[in-house]
Amino acid sequence: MRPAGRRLPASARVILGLAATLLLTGCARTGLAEPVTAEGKKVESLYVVVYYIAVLIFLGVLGAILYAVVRFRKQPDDETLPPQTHGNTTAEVIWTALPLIIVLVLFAMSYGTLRVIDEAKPVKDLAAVVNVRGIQWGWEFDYGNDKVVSGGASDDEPPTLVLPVGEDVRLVMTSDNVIHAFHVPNFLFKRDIIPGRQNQFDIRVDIPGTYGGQCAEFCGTEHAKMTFRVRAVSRAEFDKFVEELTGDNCQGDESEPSAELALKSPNNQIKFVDVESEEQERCLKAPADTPVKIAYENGGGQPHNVAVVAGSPSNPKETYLGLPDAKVIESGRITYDVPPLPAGIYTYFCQVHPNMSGTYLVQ
Amino acid sequence: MTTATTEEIATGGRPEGMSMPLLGMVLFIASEVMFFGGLFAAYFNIRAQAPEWPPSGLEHLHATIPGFFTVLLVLSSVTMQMAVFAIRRGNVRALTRWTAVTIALGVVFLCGQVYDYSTLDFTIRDGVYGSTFYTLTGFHGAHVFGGVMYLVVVLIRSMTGQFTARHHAAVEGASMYWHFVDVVWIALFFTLYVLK
Amino acid sequence: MTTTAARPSAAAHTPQPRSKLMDYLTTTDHKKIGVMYLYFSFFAFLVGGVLALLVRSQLAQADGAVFTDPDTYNQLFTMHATAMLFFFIIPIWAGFGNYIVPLQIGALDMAFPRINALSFWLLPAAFITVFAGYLTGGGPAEAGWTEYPTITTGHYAGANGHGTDLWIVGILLVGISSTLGAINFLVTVFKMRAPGMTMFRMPLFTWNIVVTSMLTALALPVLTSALIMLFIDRNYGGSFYDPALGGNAVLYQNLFWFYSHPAVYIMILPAFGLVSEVLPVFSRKPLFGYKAFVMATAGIGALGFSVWAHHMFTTGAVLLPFFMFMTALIAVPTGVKFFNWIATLFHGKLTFETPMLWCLGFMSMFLIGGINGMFAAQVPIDYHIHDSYWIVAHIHYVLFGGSVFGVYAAFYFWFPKITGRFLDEKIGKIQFWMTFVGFNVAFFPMHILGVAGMPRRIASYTADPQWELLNQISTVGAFFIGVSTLPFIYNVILSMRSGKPASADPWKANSLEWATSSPPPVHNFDSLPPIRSERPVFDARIEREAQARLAAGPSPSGPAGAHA
Repeated sequence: MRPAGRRLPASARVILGLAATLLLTGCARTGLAEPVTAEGKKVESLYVVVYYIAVLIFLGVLGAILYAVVRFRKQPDDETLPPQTHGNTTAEVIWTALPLIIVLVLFAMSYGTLRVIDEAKPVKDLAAVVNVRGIQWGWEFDYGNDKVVSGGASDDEPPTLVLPVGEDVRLVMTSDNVIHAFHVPNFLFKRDIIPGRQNQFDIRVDIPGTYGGQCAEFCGTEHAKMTFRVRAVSRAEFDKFVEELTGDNCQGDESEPSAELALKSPNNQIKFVDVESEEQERCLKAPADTPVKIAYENGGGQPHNVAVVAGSPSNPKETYLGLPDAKVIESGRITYDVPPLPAGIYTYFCQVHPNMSGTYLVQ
Repeated sequence: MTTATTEEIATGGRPEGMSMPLLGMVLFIASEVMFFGGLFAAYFNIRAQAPEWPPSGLEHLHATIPGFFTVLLVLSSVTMQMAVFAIRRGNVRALTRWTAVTIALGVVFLCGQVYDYSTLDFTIRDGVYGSTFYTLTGFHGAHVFGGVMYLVVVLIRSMTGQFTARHHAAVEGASMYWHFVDVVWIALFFTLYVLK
Repeated sequence: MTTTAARPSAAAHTPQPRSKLMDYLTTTDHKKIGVMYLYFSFFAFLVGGVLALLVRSQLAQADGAVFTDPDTYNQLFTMHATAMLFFFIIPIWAGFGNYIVPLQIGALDMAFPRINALSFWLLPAAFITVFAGYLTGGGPAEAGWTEYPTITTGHYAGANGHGTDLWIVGILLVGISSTLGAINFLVTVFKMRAPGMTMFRMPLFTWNIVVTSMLTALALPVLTSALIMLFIDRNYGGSFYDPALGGNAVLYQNLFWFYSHPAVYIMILPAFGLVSEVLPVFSRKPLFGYKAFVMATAGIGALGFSVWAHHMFTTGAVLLPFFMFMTALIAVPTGVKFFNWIATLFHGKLTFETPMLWCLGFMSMFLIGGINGMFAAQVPIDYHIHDSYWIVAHIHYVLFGGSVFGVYAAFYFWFPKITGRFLDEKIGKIQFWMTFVGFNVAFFPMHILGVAGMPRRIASYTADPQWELLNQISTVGAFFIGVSTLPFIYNVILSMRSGKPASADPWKANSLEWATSSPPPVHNFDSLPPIRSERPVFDARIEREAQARLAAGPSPSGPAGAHA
């Protein structure tokens, strides 16, 4: 019988065949969700590069192992010892340097991509700011001024987040209960939603359509059912959608209109609260056709101001109080003057953090 | 062909450097340092993000009485070291005496801790301030208690004449542990009572 | 050729005043404790495996119809990971370490035999505590093995039963067990090495146990502190992790991963050590670059302390570039190991007994586990695949393709030493190929599910119909793995009774455990060969053969280049 040493054993052939099929004929994007955002495209490019590096490493190392297995088999009648080499410094330096170089190259590429996708855009360039609140188990999408779309595990249809295409939007994530994560596979992106912490990211959806998303951080019994949809539409359609949402408009608020209003932001927090109760303030009521003073206290840590507009923070129709008159303060107290306004529904918000907003109801 | 026999393996070992129980104690203390490291990390993390410390409504802790008990605990480290010096000279009676004094100081410290707790107007349930304070001091107190128990064993063994100038690893270990507990307290005292 | 010494029968060696059961229950002998570790952790492996099959059954259908109550499913994957990580992989290496390390350094026992027994007996107690959750009204822990607050701080639906409290207490007991065990290993290795056994002559397995023990002793107490604070939050009104009361939910993640990332190395490094022992034996060459291996092992251990936050890239609360860089850097010492392993094979004379087969399986599968980890190390890609099935694939390629293949290699390699009999080679090879195929069928599709966006820890999925097919393939593979353990169990039972008897040094191996009889006597060694290199048994064998040749007269053919 011919010595089996030099022939590829069946097992090795199976593995090699499998590996080759999987890695070469298979496309790098196998399974990868189709990116629909500008940021997702960048991640996809990085993924493809890493994929090919990975395939090269895999084939190289596995090939070396299989080569050794085939080439250096012991012959049945050979009882002598092979040369007892203990090492080779040059070789070892080379193969310490090799992974180091790969690591450095990968780091440079990843860091470049990371800077692009994590970059915070200037507030003025944002087409919309949406507050995303994770709840057990569902979602609230708040377009400002308490225009909220919500839904959850118990509903027939998951709630839908509507976004404009072709423009940067900011998603601000908060949770009052447990940790969730906002994940849309087609964005190739996720971000944790952590109680006591406000995470945000800016994103530009380029392709109109409807995409599925779901909570990616285990959040309790119905975690699996915490799904949502993203519908990307034209800017005009988006504006119309927001316009037609009915906000809270001070429903259930029993307070009397006052010309002397007060607001506060606690230390290092991105929200307006009632001065006395420290509860989140969603409604200010003012008398019609009267000048109004808003006494504002910033607890420090974050720059804020108070602006009053008709329309939404991201799409104001008319600005009655705003920069440069409404000064941004880092801490301390300031009083803002709102001109007399006719009765109607307006919005107040912080121009540094447009997601800090509420209804300004003039009666 | 030279071979080592069983006896050589048994007695050969590595007599140089620290004895085995002592090395074990050093490693144990290293892991305890990391345990308190975790608690301290939590404390500083929470304190750093708090808008005010202590939270409104609470006064900064008074350092005077705990300061007095701190001095006692430092003193107990000295007396413990005296016990070690005594047994290294082979003086079992002095070992017994100094160990007893150390135990007494340790017990007084624990009583002081209980007294300190009784004067405070917040509990472990009152937000992060209470949680961190009682957890850190509580776990330290538990370590002091454990140390006292260890010293009681040393005391009994000392009284029954089980230690000599050559064989007293348990005393060395106890002293090392006691110094560690002492150092942790000094760090705690400055962090909780002094640092503003 | 050495002659096989007749194995002294146990009965003739020592009289047996007590029953075998009582003997094991009260023993402080590191070998018996080691064997108990192996039995216990393999039992936990079977328990974890059954839980895994239940998990996979649920996922075979998109609507998850097997367990209609999601809590039941959530408990399953939580307990599966708990059994596998805390009660199988970590303790089983402690078991092999217990049996083998004192033998490899020529010691009589562990440094503190009674503490050693305590370390072991804490484990069954911890196991019972954790699984006692099934007896409580709310069921056992169900927030994943990570038990992140705030879901576990006690106020929120999904993890407010006492099962989670029992889980915490059980894991604290595991922590005490591991810490004591680690200290014991370190003192043993530092103080009890035989004359001539310098640190740089120690076998790689022992070296890896040293590094993992360091990691355990220094990192595990941080987990202990994290769990204690969680327990206080749940039961005594603490607020460490509750942001509503001034706490910080991310704090727990930092503390948890400060241990649990090094814990991955605690689970994999002993397998690295084992492979570094087995490859030279079956290549008939010394390990290529022994010192580089030691340095790489220490390097992985040291780097292990600075990469924990790569589990938290998506929290937006960590310094991304730093942790991305440090994480990627782990590839360097790991790469060095791979190249040195391959160089060990090159120009060797390879044979493929079962331990070697498992080690080659380990190398090819851990290779995938390293490469798919490289994707997750890149923050932008991790934003997409974090908490997805890609990560499930990654941990299983590392911990099953890596650690478990290593565990099987260790069983086949050391079984002759422990019992005096070989495991059956034919059944072993059948088992290897079954496991190898089942493993890849079960876990490779998870990569595709991951990049497609399927999150982990979900009891049902409706997002994408394609997911169902891939999940079904995975389920089939999982059951194949399940079946593949049966030949192993059969092999162990069969071989213990009637396996081929093994001599003191049946594999012609290198390290000191092969210098004593199989199984070793109670006192481990009747005599030790001189220790002049990292291969004392090899040196002694060469010398013995040379003497035999001298006695037989001059001979032209010898082990050419044996001392090159």
